[in-house]
Amino acid sequence: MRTISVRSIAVLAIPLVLLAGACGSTDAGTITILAHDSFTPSDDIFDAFTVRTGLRVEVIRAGDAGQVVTAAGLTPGNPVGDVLWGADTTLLSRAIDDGIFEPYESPNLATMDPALAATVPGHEATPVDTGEVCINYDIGWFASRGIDPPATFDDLADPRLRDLLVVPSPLTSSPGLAFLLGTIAEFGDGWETYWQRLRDNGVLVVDGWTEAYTVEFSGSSGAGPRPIVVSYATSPPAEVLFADPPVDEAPTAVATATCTQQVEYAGVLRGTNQPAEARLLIDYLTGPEFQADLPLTQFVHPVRRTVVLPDVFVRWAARPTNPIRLDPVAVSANRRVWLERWTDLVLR
Amino acid sequence: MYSRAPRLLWWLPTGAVTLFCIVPFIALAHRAIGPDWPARAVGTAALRQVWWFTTWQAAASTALTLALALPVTWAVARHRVPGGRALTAGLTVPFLLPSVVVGAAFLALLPRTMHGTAPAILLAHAWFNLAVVVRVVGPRWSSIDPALGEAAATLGARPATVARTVTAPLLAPAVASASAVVFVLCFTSYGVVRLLGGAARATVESEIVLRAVLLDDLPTAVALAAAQFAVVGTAVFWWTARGTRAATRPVERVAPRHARGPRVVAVLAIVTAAWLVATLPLVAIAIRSVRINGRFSLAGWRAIDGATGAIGASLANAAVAAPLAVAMGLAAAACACYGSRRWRAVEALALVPVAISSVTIGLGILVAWSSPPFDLRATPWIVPVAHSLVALPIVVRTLVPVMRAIPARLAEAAATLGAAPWHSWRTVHLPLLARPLAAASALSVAVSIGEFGATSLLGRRSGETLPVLIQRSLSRPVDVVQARAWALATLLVAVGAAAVAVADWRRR
Repeated sequence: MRTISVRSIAVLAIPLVLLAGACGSTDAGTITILAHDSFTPSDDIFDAFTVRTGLRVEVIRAGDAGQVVTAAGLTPGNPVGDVLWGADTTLLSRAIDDGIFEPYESPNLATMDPALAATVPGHEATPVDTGEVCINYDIGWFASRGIDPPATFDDLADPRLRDLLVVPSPLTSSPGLAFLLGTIAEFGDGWETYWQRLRDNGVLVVDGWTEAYTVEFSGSSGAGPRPIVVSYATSPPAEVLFADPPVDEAPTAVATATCTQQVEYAGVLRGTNQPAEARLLIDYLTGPEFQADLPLTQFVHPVRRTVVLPDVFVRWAARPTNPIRLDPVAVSANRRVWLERWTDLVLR
Repeated sequence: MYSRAPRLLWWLPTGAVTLFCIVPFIALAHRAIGPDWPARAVGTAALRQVWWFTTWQAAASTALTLALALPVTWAVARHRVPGGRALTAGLTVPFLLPSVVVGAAFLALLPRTMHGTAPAILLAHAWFNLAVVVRVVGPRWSSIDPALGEAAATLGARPATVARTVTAPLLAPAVASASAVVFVLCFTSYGVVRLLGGAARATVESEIVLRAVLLDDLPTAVALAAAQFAVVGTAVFWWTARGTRAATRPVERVAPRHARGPRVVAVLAIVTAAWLVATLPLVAIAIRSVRINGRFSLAGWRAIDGATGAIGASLANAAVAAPLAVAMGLAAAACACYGSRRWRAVEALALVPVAISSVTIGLGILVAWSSPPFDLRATPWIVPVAHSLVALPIVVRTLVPVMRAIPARLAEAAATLGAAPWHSWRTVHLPLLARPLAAASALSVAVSIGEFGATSLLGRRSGETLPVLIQRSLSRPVDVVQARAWALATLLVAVGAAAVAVADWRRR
């Protein structure tokens, strides 16, 4: 009997020790970024910040951008970190409405395109990078058949390009959602008619970007049957940059008239007990070192206009001169209705 | 005999499930839904369609899984087959793989005409869940004394009659148990349905995620989760109760025999086919890791040097989660099998995690445990603890049928000879439980290493786990990065298979 009690005490003790460990406080010299799983800067990128401020930077990753914002919105004012990275255009005004941010006007806003800086008039969050979601096509497929590749949204609904387009679902994919919102911005109230036309023209909707680009699209490793896909403006440089063996020409190209801009934002989390340090970190994230690190680690454009882009980016990344810009407030107000309408129109 | 055991052990599974599933769920429900939640959960035609699809695909997937898995179980559990144990380990590996990898592997294998169809979902579900049936039914089947059947045959029963009147009733509880687990896993399936079913098919679970995360419609999400809990909970408890009534026939462990005569052909054919089915998608994954632009290349493998941290993080999680899951599961099983009737409530409670939508639990923990001194968000151990709860129902369902079948007279004999309860349990019961314990450990390790998704909501301070890294690499438009993802998936298969083999081997 004695053995039993000793062992059960040992078993009892384990969770208590674990609980005790949970209550330990974090040391004063640490500042924490709450981010999505795709936040992948260079390993040593925060060394300069630590040298300058004496603060160590810790990253907590908590799922995709939607999950991070949803989770933060459950306990506004009681954050698990000090700074949030990665609320995008489609999530920003929800995050602001939930009250998760504490306004901060960074001096680095002056280094950005004023139109971009103006997307958050209350300064609850600061733009940190931009990317464009665009129609990509397989150059070789169209060249070998002597067919003109698509250039506009209307081309995609042209019977000439029947059964050639694959898109990731806006319900489950962030580029899919940006593409849908782009068509809504382009066609206004006519967007439902446009998607009806796309459906009649044989658009294939798949779950995520990965299946669309790497399984169904003909211009990538999957060698699928469809030569037109929704992807990023940076997809062609990525194809060149990492080609093995090296190639001179990108095998894919972008229809620049179909590009929709996605902006990512970072903000100070309301309720942090180190607001001053959090503001320093926002300045660092929009500063020259961090911004220069973005293109080749996360395939997005820096918001800081003076950053010199790497050659491969300059040469191959499509630079749509006038991408469709989304209004975060309108997106937030209508997203649910639009998505339910889209589901009825296209999936049922 | 061990009636003191429930009083000593009940708090472990009960406490964990209460703290990390029930309290969070109630906290979230309290915040998000009112008394009108049932109406909200089935309020629109679209939602009713989701319920209908979820139910029939789960039922069909379970039937297909049983149809494919029972012959395999018969072959490996009843016979001494070369490679039989390795096959059981191999069948467990799919459990390890994040659904994005399984999805892409199946998309690569299946003809394009099957993409986005229900049969593709059913096949993938069956492939995923073969291991559950083999591991839950196998120990029970191998413990049926062939002398029973031989006695019946001597009395003139034909093989079909023996199967119907002797074998089937003895197997029924284990089969019911396995079916319940498979049905519930298919009912709550998320990644596989999304990837293989095409964008138009949604399960209740995927609808919950969609509503909670993208549509900012927490009330409907939580209403769906509550309704799912009601449906799945009812299914599990109905099955468990049926299984309990039938599980009274005592049986003992019997050594498997060499097959003789025409059986050799049948056994070998089944085992060979099972090997093919088990390994084909895995081979497809390995092949994709060395093919870039249609040519052989090792560039993907050369690029994996950065992944050692992710492998370490995954193994560290499993090293905490698996022992915890097995300890909790053993305690719950002891309550169910050694205690009086009322202690079965502990077993029922231990099955709760499988019935609550995991994203709901994740969000609930964030709501319920966010204030000091109990701020559990992003603590280093919350993720392995969550993994252990995900694995707990599988552990319980693996242990209970076998534990219940151990005849009480064995322990009574030991007690008559003067053995203390703990001593007699350790020397009499524990050896009989060795195989199901091994299976439970292996499945827990697999669940923990492969878990990807809702527990990520809880936040990780440590680096990425392997599934997260693979998912991220697969969403880059670069052949080498893609090849690296497949190389990592191959590595995940290897690491997971090794972990499963170790768990199996240690307690053999």
